[in-house]
Amino acid sequence: MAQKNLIIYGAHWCPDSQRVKHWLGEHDVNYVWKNVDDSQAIVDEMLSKTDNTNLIPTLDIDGTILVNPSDDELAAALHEPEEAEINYHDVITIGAGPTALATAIYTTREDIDTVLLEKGVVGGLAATTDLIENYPGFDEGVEGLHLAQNLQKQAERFGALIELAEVSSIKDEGQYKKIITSNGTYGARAVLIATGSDYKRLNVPGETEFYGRGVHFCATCDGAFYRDKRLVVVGGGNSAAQEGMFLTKFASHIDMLVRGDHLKASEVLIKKIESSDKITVHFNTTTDEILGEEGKFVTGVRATDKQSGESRVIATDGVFVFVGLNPNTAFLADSGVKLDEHGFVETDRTLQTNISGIFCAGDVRAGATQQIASAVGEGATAALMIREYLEEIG
Amino acid sequence: MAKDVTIYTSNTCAYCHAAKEYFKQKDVTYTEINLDEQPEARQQLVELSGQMAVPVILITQEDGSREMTVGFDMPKLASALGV
Ligand SMILES: Cc1cc2nc3c(=O)[nH]c(=O)nc-3n(C[C@H](O)[C@H](O)[C@H](O)COP(=O)(O)OP(=O)(O)OC[C@H]3O[C@@H](n4cnc5c(N)ncnc54)[C@H](O)[C@@H]3O)c2cc1C
Repeated sequence: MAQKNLIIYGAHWCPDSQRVKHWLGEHDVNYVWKNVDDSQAIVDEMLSKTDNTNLIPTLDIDGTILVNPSDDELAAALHEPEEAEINYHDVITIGAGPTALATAIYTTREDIDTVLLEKGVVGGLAATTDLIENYPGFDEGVEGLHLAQNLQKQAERFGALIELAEVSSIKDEGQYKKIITSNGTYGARAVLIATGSDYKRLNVPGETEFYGRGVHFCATCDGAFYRDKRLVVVGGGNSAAQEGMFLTKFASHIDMLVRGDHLKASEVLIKKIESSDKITVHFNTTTDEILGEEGKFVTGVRATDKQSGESRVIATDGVFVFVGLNPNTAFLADSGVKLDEHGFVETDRTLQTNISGIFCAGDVRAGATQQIASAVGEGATAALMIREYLEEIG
Repeated sequence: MAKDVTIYTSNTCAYCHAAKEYFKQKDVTYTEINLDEQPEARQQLVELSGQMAVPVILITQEDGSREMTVGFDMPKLASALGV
């Protein structure tokens, strides 16, 4: 539709002003919003166009004045018989991990219409973690899946809608943001980017060929296939340590291959690893290749001791890879949202990105501490900032 | 619509829950084989699919052709299910 110059005179508290804005959002129409509560000048400007008719909303469409038009009148005035409708909401979160679920709990309790778009697991990475021991309020720890399901139920109880869709891009249309997904196009007055991060691959030969046949990225999913078998865990951070400990439930023995010269994990985890008689840690060791017979299962890993330069094959039935995380920001490529040099989203202190109305919180945010407790904290903060933003734009 | 949808799952696997949630949203009926409840199916899965991972989803079409997905891959499932 050819875009016309459109001004709306209205007020926050006026249901018909809101209805008209909603309709315009749904039909992808840009407009300038003038709040009559803001100044007498705005009221005077409106009255000069309406022959002193003091009614809102008043619309000025390329000089044609409409006072409180119905939806049909709007469609006629904008010459838009039938265009593909977009799903329009107050707030859309991209992702439905702990961050977005916490945001939704806050926004929906305030009756802010909120939809979460999720391409994978509701509850995000937290849902795939077996036991979370440091999330406050659970003295014995809590299973990731259990926490995720509770967060989901809590958000849905207040009216949050979760839709399964992958977001491929977002676009700033001024008054509202357009979100393109595998499930159609959405529009929102405010957007929260809460896409977290995904496992990094090792990028060594054999990794892709043997995925699901000895190469794995999720211990809670696939660990049980390795009862009484030998495993290799690649990585030396918190995730590798946590998942390595989980896998001792099943495996007869685990070789942990760590590139650096120490574990970068919490003290508690390091102690557990050190005292486990099932785990042997190999420091300064690179993982070069995953070996197996073509079309069959993994049989070993080729690894090199960086100090001696010696390369050898470690026999194993499976390899679990936990070598860090990449922020999920590829879909932001053409959005204009500013990323840092590692691909994380930059925000100001109110968790707003460089684009007004687009917020970001949780693991994908530059400077995040990548913990569930802080993710839900940021999610709550984002909700309050979004509420303020929505009030401001009216 | 596919003729038969079978999903191999385990209790702790979040991607299995996600796949089942997706079937629910798309009104797809499916048969679930839970490897925690039927440990003997573990070997059957490995032989059938050559996979040691869950979820494994087998979709059989009306013409008898069969497609397998490992993990929760929404675009692939959508096209196999025609939803
Ligand atoms: C193995 C492991 C163990 C951990 N253990 C702990 C622990 O013990 N304690 C702790 O506090 N933290 C732990 N963490 C960290 C914790 O999981 C994260 O901090 C937390 O999940 C972050 O939440 P989030 O919502 O920001 O992101 P995520 O949980 O990553 O959720 C983001 C969601 O967005 C979705 N998404 C991404 N891109 C798109 C797209 N384009 N369209 C639609 N949806 C999309 C993803 O599918 C995902 O569900 C662990 C992490 C891992 C990997």
